[in-house]
Amino acid sequence: MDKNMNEMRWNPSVLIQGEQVPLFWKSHFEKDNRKLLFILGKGFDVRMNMALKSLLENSPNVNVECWIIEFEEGEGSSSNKYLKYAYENLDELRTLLSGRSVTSKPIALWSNKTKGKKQRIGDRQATNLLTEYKQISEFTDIIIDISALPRGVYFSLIGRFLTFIDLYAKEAPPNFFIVVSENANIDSNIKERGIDEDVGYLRGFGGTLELASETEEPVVWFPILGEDKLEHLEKAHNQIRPHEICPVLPFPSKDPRRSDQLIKDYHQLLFDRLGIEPQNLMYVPERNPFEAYTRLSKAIHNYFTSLNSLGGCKAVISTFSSKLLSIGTLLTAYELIGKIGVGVLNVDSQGYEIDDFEEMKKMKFESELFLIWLTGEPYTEN
Amino acid sequence: MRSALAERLLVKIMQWNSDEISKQRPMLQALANLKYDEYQQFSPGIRFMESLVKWLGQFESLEERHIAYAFVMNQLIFISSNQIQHLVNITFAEKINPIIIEKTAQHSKFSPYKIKKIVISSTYKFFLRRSLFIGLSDGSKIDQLRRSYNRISNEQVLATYQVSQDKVKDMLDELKQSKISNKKFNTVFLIDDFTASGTTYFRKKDGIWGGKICKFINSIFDPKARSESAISQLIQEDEVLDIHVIFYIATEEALEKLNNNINEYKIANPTYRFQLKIHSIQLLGNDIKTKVLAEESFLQLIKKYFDADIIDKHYEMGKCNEPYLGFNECSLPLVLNHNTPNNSLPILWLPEDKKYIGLFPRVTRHKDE
Repeated sequence: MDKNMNEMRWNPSVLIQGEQVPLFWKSHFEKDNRKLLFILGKGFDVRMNMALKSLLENSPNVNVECWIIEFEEGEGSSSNKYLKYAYENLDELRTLLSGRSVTSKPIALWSNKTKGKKQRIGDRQATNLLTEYKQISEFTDIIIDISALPRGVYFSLIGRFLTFIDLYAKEAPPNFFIVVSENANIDSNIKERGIDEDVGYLRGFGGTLELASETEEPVVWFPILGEDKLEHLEKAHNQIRPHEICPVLPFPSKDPRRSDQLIKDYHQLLFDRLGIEPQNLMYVPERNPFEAYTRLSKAIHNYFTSLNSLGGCKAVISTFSSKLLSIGTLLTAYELIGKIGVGVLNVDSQGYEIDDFEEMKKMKFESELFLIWLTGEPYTEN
Repeated sequence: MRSALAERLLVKIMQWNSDEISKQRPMLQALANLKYDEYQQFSPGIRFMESLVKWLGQFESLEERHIAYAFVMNQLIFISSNQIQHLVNITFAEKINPIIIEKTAQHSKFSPYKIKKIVISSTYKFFLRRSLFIGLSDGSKIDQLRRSYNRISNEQVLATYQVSQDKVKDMLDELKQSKISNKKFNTVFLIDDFTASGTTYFRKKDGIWGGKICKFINSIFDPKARSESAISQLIQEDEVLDIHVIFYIATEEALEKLNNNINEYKIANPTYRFQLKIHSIQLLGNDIKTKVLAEESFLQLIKKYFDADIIDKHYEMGKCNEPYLGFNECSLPLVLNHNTPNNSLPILWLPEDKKYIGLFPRVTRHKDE
């Protein structure tokens, strides 16, 4: 490991999962001096309230305020037919938090049509939720639950919170966590429908990539592969036009065949059409975003060093996999964006279809909570 | 045989139409290039495509060939050298470091979440330096593990627990000179690549305990074994020895069996002062075996194309009522790039000198499971 890699911000790191999470809620939030801001999205996903429910069951006296991000999907989204489930979740949330402060934070995912075309603005709207540090300065702890938030929203939102904490609370940062309720079976039950015509770098994660095609620096693309994303991959590739591609596969994984199955799904695109060399394939653990961050950061750093005589390189990361792994890509991009041009190119869908909602409800209790601790107590020396 | 010729033969054997050819051939080629061609026990000149042709060709009917082919496409788990290397590289971060952090936190009364405070503390250095890393076979790739984290010293790593007096002296001298501790080692990480049944590591046969982990524990605590082994001199006698066994790949069944055996052994030997935990990086869940056993037509096939000649006294050490399910009836659809384990289905690994041949023929090493 070289010197720069020894200085990685989140190595070591704190990831709390499964049965450890309720124990953590109990030990951490029962202390008197805690004041928690809990942020989550209003959505149809059956996992929307799982983390908050677990927190309140295990730490009933926690001093918590809640922001609920109510995003408008826009007309024509296939997700609109599931609105009643989103309202059911919202009712449950209000019951859970009765007597506590809940603030609605509406955002639009799309702009109004101009010249017959609408544009995705969810990422920009998400960053605008936090405009001054004093909005969050009174909180000792902040949790963003991404379980029911779209990728385009939570990437920019987390990026903004990290930036503000680093800028305005460097000396005494709050404890900042991401929580996600992971369930691969539910994920595969929610199918993405219709992809965006225009794809672009996420707000706060563009680096200098928007201009990359006009520079001589080689662009290396790291797509994190997941199921049923052929069209997304093609779209992203056309946009990025990378000089080098390193597909990233999940391994170790709950299903040890998963990476082979992904190769079977995408072999024509990856090997026949894009001509990727087998040695470019990378693996990251399916259930550890910090290890994904470590592996990706090292790979990007290695490319940058190797291509030094060409002025280094730019890197683009695209996540087509689970929300848990996407946090690894977010951390990589956040840390390297100022050192090496690293961007996150997202290809969003225009809505979702669910195979069987009742079946999805039954699967809810097989979900596992992951708490990803990003700033605060673990990372201070005293 | 040239690959193009093998592909033509394959098309003939499987009687694929042009649509099937255009679907199957590129996929097979991709999997072969990426993983299957690296299997180290293929005979010279034979690669995956040629082996697949031979393997499918031995099944009498077209239906049998399709059943066998579907099994390979949908259930085979091939672990490549890249994947093994990746497992070794993440072992420190995924398993070893959290253990050292937890020990430090407990000892120093720190919160286990204060990781920055913990890893810069002298107590963390103390616990890390007093940890011994021992490979249980070549598969442990213990050198690569050491290189994956630069805070592990060469003088706390052993390729085997059978060590010489000279090596013991060197290691203790280095430990003293490190100025981190005057004490000996109190934590041992036993590392190996794979277990499917656990038999190689901890077993009871005819009332006698055996296996690699059992032998290691005996060499520390059993008075007779201790007198014949130098390894015990590395261990701090007045502390409870903390042993962690880490497998890069392990089945759920093996971990359960090993835990049960070790608990029974501990009860039978209450004076042995150790605690032991078993970990795996890639767990192979019981659902893998369940899925194999649910394929009735495939089970008929492997029963029919089985050569009882592979059953020897080592094979009989495991459950052997249905030997066509592999050693100890583990029923694994698993191939490791250097050799197919004998716990896998014999139809995958039957050696070349048997009545039928496996897709990834195995080189037999009786000391294996």
